[in-house]
Amino acid sequence: MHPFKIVPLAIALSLLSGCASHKPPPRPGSIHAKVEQLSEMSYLQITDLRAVKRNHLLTVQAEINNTDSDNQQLYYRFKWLDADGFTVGSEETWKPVLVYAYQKQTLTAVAPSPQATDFRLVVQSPDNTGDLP
Amino acid sequence: MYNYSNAFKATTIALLLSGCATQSPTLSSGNVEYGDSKAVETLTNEFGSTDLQTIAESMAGSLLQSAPLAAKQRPLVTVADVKNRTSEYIDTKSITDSIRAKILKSGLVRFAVDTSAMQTQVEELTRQNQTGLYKKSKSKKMGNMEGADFRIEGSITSIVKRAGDVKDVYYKFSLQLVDNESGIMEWADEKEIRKTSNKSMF
Repeated sequence: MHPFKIVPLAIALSLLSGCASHKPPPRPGSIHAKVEQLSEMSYLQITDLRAVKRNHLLTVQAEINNTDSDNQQLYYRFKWLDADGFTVGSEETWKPVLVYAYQKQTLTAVAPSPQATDFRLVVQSPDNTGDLP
Repeated sequence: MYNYSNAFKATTIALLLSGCATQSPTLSSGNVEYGDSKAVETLTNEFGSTDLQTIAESMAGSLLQSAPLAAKQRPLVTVADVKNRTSEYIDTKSITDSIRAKILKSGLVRFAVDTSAMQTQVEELTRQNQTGLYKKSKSKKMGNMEGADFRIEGSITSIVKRAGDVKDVYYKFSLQLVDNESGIMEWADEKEIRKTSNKSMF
């Protein structure tokens, strides 16, 4: 094959392979299974997630760790799901949080109704690698 | 044979072209588009949609977790006044409406008509009972309204500071739950918001 014909083929293959995710699916019950990152964050890490039912309502606490020496802006919201995996209530508003350098910030949220038995934490930070999670 | 071949090519090209161009069900001048109503809005540092939504979510969550509401089986609550003590116009009824909607959706609390809706409630009962238009057996009776166990009241205040090109606005939304019978304040919470804007370009 002519060498110039191989180059476009290699580009096409690399593009195709870029579309396919190499990461294995997150383990059920792990933090990654509960977190949806809108592009992977470089400096902010979700280090802890706790969920408990209080007064019939699921209450969630997440710990965000800023590993950078600069302050980081985080946008987040929770998605609430019922036992069948359907969303409960309307979409939450995006909430801005400033996480100081090397700070551990705690986010808490209460489910909108007793039907919510599961959740997803959706996060986005402007300073990120741009890679899909 | 020649004609068939050309027709086939033309059809294939037309199909490919039509396949590439997707038609959205829109009629637009190009200057208007719909956005995300839940997006973080920072166009100015005046009170905005994100502030309203954040306050409503925070207060509804906190109120639903409060001990006095959890102690009673679907308690009856009414919304009293939320005073605007800021220097700008804020529709506080819109904030309490959002809080009420979120709490109602939980199914854990019921709401009695508030003072602003009382006139409509009285007019409806009067119409059903005193106009002679309704069957007596089917009309809703006077004197059966239920008094609320608790009332929600509060205020929003702000502190605005300017230093050169920098403007800092601090909002504090306070909400209280008062037992209507005893007059005891059973729960209170606050939500604070800070917004800073800088006019300078450098």
